[in-house]
Amino acid sequence: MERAVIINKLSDVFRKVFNNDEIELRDDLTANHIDNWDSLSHMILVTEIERTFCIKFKLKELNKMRNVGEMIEMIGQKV
Amino acid sequence: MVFTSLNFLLFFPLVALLYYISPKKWRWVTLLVASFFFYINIKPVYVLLLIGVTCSTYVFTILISNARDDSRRTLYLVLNIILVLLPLFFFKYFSTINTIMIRLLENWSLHWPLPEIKYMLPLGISFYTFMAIGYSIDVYNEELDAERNLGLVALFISFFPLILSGPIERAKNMLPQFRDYRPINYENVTAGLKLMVWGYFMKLVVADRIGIYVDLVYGDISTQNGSSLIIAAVLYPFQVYADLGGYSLIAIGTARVMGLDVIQNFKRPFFSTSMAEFWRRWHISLISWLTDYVYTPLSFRFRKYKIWGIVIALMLTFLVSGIWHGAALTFVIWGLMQGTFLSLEAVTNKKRTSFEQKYNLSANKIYHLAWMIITFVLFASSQIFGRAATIDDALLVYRRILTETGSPYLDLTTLLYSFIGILIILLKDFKDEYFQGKMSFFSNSRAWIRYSAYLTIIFIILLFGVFKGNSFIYFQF
Amino acid sequence: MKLVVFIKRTFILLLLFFLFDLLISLVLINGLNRYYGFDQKPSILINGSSMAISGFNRADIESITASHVAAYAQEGVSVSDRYEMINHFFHMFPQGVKTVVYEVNPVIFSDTKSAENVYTHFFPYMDDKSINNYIKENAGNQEYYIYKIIRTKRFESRVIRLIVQGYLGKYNSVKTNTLDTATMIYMEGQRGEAEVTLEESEIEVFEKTMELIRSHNTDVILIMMPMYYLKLQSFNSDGYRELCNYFKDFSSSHGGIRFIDLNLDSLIYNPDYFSDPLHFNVNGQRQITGIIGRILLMHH
Repeated sequence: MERAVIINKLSDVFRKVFNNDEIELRDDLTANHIDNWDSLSHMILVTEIERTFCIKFKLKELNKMRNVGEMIEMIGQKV
Repeated sequence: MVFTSLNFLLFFPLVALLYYISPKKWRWVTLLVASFFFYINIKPVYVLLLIGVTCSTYVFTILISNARDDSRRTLYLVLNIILVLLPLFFFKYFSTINTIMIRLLENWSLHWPLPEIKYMLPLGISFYTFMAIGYSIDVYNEELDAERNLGLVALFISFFPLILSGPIERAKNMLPQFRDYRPINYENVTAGLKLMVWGYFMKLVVADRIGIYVDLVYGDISTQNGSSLIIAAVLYPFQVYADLGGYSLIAIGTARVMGLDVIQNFKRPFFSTSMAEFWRRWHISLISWLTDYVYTPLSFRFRKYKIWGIVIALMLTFLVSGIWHGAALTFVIWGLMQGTFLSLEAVTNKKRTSFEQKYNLSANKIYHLAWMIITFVLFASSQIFGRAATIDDALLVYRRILTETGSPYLDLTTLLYSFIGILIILLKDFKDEYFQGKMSFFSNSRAWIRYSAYLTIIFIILLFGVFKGNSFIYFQF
Repeated sequence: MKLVVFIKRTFILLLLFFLFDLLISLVLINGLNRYYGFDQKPSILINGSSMAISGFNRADIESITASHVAAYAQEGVSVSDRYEMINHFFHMFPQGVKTVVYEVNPVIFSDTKSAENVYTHFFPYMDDKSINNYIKENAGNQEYYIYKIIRTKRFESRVIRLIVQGYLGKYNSVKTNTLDTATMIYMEGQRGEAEVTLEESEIEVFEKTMELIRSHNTDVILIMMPMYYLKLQSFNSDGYRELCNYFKDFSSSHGGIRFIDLNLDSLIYNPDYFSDPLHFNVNGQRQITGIIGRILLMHH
């Protein structure tokens, strides 16, 4: 899947999960930058990503997705 | 020796001096020797336990790193965790479970073969055990390679500023710092000393002062009325903050003097507007450990249950937190209360967000203040279970607070000093929260303001500090 | 920052620290002296333990007797501690005073040990040689040197309160409560049970104290502090009589020493004067202060 497509779909997921249509994704975006993105909502985000991209993450891989850029990388590898 | 003893005030500058004059390659050795000296001075025999945990962790992390097979790696991890948790389990929970078994079987006129035993808890065991386990899991998750130098692993686990009551650090943060050597930086020395001074202020002037009142009220709950109990319940969270927060600052400051960066443990927790935020600001090192090693795996496992998966993971995580604090049912209930608060918040989160958006409340200061107070009340009420000795006592406290009034027990001197102390801490936190970097006293550009500030706080500690206590609240955990 | 700068700054800070340590301690000791009445040359000294503290309002006695009064009393002190206090007092005022009011009570010769850590109350006066030795004997080595070097450490929060009172000139008791019936019923049941012992070692120190006072050309008035009558009755009556007889004999056989038993006064029957069986509330203090004031007035 093209990187641009991933970013597009991922943006939709973020906007839906955090109830905020104004979220714009950048590679260095982390939980610090978005309201309500914390360890509680993180798993909801992850589940939604898995659903949207029809992939399954391993626990180990969660630690390798510390910002949006790494997230996109990881999704790209799996799709 | 405890941080607040004269021995430590002599020990620490000596160690810092030796550290800086040691050849760079051997600086970590100085720290290792100092850490073991420090721990031996508390109770020599428990050093054996420390050594045992260190060796086990050292061996198994290397085995994990070397193994190719996933199931082997998992086996080694599980073995290490069990070995390392065994002494913790034994010292902390065995006597409680033993007693429960004895009583249980007594009811059925049976005899439990083991006698009732009371063991002293090796100081720091809950903390260094978690650090060791965290390190093993990190190696397993390939976050870092196993350290081949036994001395460095031993230093990480026994590091004297952290060993007794945290902050609970990660190998990933500490090992590189121990390995590398930096040239001495006097800014670090002064920064560290400033942290220590403020930590001593929090502990000696505020925490121990509040403790006088709280200990008296909780020491004999049956003779206290609802009003005294409310005062004690409101004071206690501040006591814990000043105690553990103060200890943490002394620990972090001590490390900082030697140029080492340790994680911040508290971030102005009483300015939180929700329990979720509170737990991001309170005892941060413990929560982040639990999040990374308990909550995340659990919520990942249960993620198909969406929000309910999160709820289960939360409840289990805080159950672990409660049990970590102690073998008593009161701590379990305390933990479950935290889990419940957070679960409720998680479940109602969307509603709260849309409510706030609808009425444009995010800029409303009074709304924020209201939530700060609500959060404080929730935490303070759960802390009743943290402080009371038994569940019956805790329930009695609740009952009396809700039904009884009457004039409270008033030790005016203690209450006045406590109140002023809390006010000072809150003012400083307020300044840090909303005016970061401005109006600083300790970091002011003008030397006379800085020196006046240092001297003022030091003299306040000398004149108003309570020097009778010899321990910190979190030593018992 | 360079090493030199760091050392320079540390040195300056230490210098400032010890300078302010000295200045602050001077301000504090001045306040404490005012509290005890050591700021001017006194004509009367009152010495005792908690019963004396609760009973005597120094300022009021000064107005009644129109002379300067020092009240050097401390909770939990034994006879030996009080010897040190009086010795210290005469170091400060070697010319002596006219009268020393020495409070006595039924347990004065019983407790051979002072209350725990009572020596810590004397840290503020560590500069006095005899107090210094007294503390050195009682404190651990480490403790002794910390207090010797860091002067402000000698003043803990309890003492600060006295200093504040000294500067504000407030000496009256703040206790307003009175005895409740439960306590009184309890005391009824304790009749005659408390021992009154006359330990030889304690009596020796007492007599040494009297010698010390007399050697400074000073009169002594021994006051048996009154207590609530039920509490008095809880003491073994033979023992109490023996104690009073000792004081009567001692005072009649030594010039310049009087003994007055205030337990003969009718105020001991009034529960409204006591905040607890041994100590007075603000009303009781007014009574006792008046009594002792009049005694002193007539004595002079």
